Amino acid sequence: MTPATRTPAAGGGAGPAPGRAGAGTRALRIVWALSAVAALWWSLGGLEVTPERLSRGLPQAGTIIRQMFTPPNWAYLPDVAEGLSQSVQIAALGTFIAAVLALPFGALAARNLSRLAALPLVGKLALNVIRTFPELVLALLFIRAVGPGPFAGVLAVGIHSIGMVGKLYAERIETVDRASLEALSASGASPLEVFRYGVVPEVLPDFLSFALYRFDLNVRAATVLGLVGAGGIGEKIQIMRTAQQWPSVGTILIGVIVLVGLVDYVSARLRARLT
Amino acid sequence: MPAKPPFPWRGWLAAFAVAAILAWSWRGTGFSLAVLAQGLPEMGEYLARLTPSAERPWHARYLPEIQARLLETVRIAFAASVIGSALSLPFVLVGTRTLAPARWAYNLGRGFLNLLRTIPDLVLATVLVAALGLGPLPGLVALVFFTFGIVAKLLSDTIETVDPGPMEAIAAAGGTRLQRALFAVFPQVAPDYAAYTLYAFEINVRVAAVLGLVGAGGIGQTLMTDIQLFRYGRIGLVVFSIFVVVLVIDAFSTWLRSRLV
Amino acid sequence: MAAAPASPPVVAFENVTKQFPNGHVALRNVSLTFPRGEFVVVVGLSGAGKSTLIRCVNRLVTPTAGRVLVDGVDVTSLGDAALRRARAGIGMIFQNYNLVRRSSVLRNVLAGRLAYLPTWRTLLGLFPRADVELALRSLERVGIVEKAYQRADTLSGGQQQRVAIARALTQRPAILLADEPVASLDPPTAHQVMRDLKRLSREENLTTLVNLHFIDMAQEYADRIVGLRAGEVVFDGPAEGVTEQTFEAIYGRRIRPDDLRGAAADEAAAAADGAALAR
Ligand SMILES: Nc1ncnc2c1ncn2[C@@H]1O[C@H](COP(=O)(O)OP(=O)(O)OP(=O)(O)O)[C@@H](O)[C@H]1O
Ligand SMILES: [Mg+2]
Repeated sequence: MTPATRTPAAGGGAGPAPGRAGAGTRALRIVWALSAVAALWWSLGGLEVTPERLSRGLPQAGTIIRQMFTPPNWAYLPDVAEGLSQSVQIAALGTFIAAVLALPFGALAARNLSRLAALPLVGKLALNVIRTFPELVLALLFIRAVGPGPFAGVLAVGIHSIGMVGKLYAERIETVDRASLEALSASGASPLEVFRYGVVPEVLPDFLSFALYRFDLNVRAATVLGLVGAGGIGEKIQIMRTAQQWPSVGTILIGVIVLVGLVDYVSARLRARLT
Repeated sequence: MPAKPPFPWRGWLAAFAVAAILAWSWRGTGFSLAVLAQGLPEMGEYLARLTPSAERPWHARYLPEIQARLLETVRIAFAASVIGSALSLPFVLVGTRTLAPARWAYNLGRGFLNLLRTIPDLVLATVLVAALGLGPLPGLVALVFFTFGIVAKLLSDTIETVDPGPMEAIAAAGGTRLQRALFAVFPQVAPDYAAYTLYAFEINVRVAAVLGLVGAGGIGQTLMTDIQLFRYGRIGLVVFSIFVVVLVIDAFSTWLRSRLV
Repeated sequence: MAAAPASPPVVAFENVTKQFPNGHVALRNVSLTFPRGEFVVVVGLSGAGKSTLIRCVNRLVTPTAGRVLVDGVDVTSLGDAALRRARAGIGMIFQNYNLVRRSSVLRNVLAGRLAYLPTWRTLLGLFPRADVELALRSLERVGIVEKAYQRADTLSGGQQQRVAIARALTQRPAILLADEPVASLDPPTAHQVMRDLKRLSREENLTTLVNLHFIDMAQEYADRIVGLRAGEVVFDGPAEGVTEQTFEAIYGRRIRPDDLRGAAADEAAAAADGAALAR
């Protein structure tokens, strides 16, 4: 407990007093540090995080972790691969849906495309609202519509991702030179054509890069969806955890780490080549 | 006339690869617009049942428990943010090229960090629930790891871009590594550090809201129970209150961050 | 001198006033007519309303009072579709070229055909063969057809402005508008671009309105000069009779070296070279 409470004091105090020299600075720092400690104390107090619980739980956690990896259940590997590829499928299709559906939102939310000042505000608000519903909650809803399984996961990932992808789209569109769009409409192009010939060529590489970035995040999300029954490796985690098959859980963890690391690496490499 | 450019093989190949991956995913996930179209009315009905109505009002008597669970959610997120970002401070002494004692130590530190960051937060929480038991503790620990990973990464990246002048000055005056960090580096990155902590806090609130779905405490726990028991009025109220809390904290924290940097 | 007096005007301003939402009056009761094939240069100090004037022709700016007739049609009252059809017949060139930078030169030039094609075709990028040939021919006429498949942002400023001219030509317009087309170019390139504009305008018998800052260029290329001051037409007459005094009357101040572009700068450069050699 003690080290955990003392170190944040330094962290909490460092924040709000950067570079501001003066008589009050030191006192201010101490006030901030003390309030950070107090707030932390209050938080932990409400969480039943007691030394006894920790001293009981941590050794148990150690035992379980040892069981997971000494050795993992390699025979379970084919099942893990199957679950992981389903997670990738959920992420791929979900990202695609989001990348397409985010287009109208992004265009709506971009300030330089709209004639009305209110539309971009509405668009940005809509994107923020979408982002606020977590994938897992959406997954629970879509399970109502299409039943449990990966399809519900695809829909949850697809809809949730619109929020972030749409926001990135809008911000990118806003950096497109307004004058080049004006030149197109001066030649008689319709708004749709202005978008197709003035905006799309300028932003396409970056849009692809946003989609790849979101795919990276969605692969992580798709490993979790199964915990609520929406497909992917998460379902196997849930099963093996409930059955206390720790070596199999270990195999799954290794698989997840390898997959996420790999996707992270590939996505970053592809994005570096796009820009 | 100009020579036509060569056929863009690479672009078409990439497009074909993406199409193939999507087709494979389509089959593998059982994606079907027909099923979706069929299911949407039922989902609409479900959503309708979640909104307050005469038969299913959002009772005020639900509020105390929801409030308590929301508070627990915020507590988990807050404590994890403070502890996790505090732990990341000493880490940068090995995880930053300019402060690490040796190249191997830096590589080891970064390797550990990258490994840690590949574990999805809720997967970690699930495993920890098994180890530490149901309740907020596993959620807290999972988020501490998560915060540590994100803040340590951002902070060491920032430190590597910081003006090396002051550090050299302290080294020239015979300062130790720790002294260099304390007197030359941390003052320069303090606002960024605070901003990263707040950023982690924003994400943590969002994650903490769903931790309960895997048994790791917070408002998600209420949501899970209510869903299992078909308590529609309560589900609606819980989802709505999550929505409000996340939006408010997000807006506040974003505002605070914009003032910091 | 160049205009055939009998033909009806291609562009006519009738008592046009433009007041911006912030209250600023940029054009004040302007009445002007432009016959087919005339090469008109509009001069005036910065802020006089030159851009506002020519933007009224294709309604990038909508006048607050009065009418702008293009081929006898009042563009101020057109609906969206009719306005697009009218704009198809009006080419426009800008100071900063305003190309789509990441698209190829040919794509940029083909954009001049958008208003003539059904939307489904243009969205799929399926341009008729004849249009592609027309675009390549336009590029040929401005002398940069060999750059057709290069990205627009890899071209020099003068080349980009030629692409913009080719884009306007590809519209097969009857009217050409140019808002300070050479302000971003060095003097020799500026003159080349102006010569191109003048030549093409003659070949196609285009009614051309060009905004220019520099009085020597105005004198050199214009058939007719229109002078604006504070949103009002203070001069309108053939280029021949125009002298420095005329410009001083339009500008309301003495002519300064920076009101001149070409010769002055060339001579200054030559003088500098000479001085360098002498040393
Ligand atoms: N959208 C607008 N809102 C308000 N005022 C404007 C707007 N556009 C132009 N103005 C004003 O109208 C006047 C005329 O502008 P205009 O752009 O036509 O001038 P100009 O003669 O083209 O000048 P320059 O040579 O600098 O391009 C200026 O005082 C300008 O500030
Ligand atoms: Mg102007």
